[in-house]
Amino acid sequence: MTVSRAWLTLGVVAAVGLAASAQGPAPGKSAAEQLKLFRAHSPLLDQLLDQALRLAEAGDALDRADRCRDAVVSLSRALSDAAGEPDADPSRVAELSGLLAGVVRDGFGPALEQAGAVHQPGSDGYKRLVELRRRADVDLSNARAFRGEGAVGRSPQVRAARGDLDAAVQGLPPAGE
Amino acid sequence: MSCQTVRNKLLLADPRRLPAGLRDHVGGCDACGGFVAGLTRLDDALLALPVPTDPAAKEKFLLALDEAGPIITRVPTVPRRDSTLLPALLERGRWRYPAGLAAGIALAVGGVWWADRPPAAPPAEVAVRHDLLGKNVRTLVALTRTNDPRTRLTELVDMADTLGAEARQMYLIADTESMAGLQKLFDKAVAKGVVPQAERLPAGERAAALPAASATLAKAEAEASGLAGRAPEHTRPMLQKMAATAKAARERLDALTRDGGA
Repeated sequence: MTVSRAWLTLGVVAAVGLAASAQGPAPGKSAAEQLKLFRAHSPLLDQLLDQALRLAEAGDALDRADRCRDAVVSLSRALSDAAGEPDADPSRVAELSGLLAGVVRDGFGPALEQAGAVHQPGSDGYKRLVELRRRADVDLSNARAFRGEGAVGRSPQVRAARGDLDAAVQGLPPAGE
Repeated sequence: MSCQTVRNKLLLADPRRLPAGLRDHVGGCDACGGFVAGLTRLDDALLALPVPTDPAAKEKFLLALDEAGPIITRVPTVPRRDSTLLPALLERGRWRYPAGLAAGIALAVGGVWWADRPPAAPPAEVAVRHDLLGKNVRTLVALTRTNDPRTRLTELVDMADTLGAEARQMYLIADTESMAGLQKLFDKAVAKGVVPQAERLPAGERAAALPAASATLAKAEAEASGLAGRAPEHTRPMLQKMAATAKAARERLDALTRDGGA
């Protein structure tokens, strides 16, 4: 009886050890995690949806580039705010930086190029395009200026996302005159 | 003084001239009195042994005593009851001692290894992504890249569908404020996005484009309505509102398909 109880104890300890060693991040995201992210991003989601609805009504490429710049501004502010929080979450900073890079690279940049092909230098449209590009430079330089402290500053995924953002900004068509 | 102590002292004493302390004990103890009587008889018997009279014989006898060596020439080995290791360990539970020793050694070795191991690499970062935010941004990018009303409608319907799915995922755990925020996003995407975009479609494209959008809205309406029946009380009104919004939009799209929205 004593021996079997001892073996049972050893078996339980071994099983618990194996279970503990096998623990890892749970796959996927739970509804609770999604809810937490929704609360954190709720104002941003509302702004981006409004901007998407205005984009759906936009006319030419210059108009779309102008309205897309509103999204660039919203994401830039969200990124600066997230990076400036005392207990900033590197994952959230990296995500916002990556999303901003995507908007610049895949939305704003192509719209600028299309608009540049249509509006010739000297035209009102071209002047508007140059001004739009100049203001976007200011917005994006503010977004790229964040200096992550602590975990954000050491985070590899934040560094990678900042690299993507830098590349996206450098890939924008030149501002013109 | 115990009998054993008294008898040890009696062995060293002359049984015929016992010291006072021993004599008092022996006088009152029958067992020790018998022991003294035995010693006295042994002493008398030794005195009665014949002694060689010849000096040479005496010398030979003494030499023989010297050469005899120790009486006990080897220590006998008495087998231990538990000398058969494994059965003894298992039967009498003494396995615990070597097992404890082995565990102690293992712990000591493990502790030394643990203390001396190189510093662990920092844990890999877990990239947390907000699917809804990502979807919102992808919709926005797609709308930036197109002027086509039908493509825009598809993107907006997809956005509304994603918001509905988010509500279905969260309705059981969401607080009132979060659920209300989600419902307002859904209503906005449908009422200010899908419906106006459908109305902008050229009449000739509606029959081809709107049935799919209507079907998506009908699905959202049915799911929100079904969930409202078993939702917590504080999220039920939002699901009912979403179902109503989806229903109104579906009916408008069906009318646009049917008669061109006139």
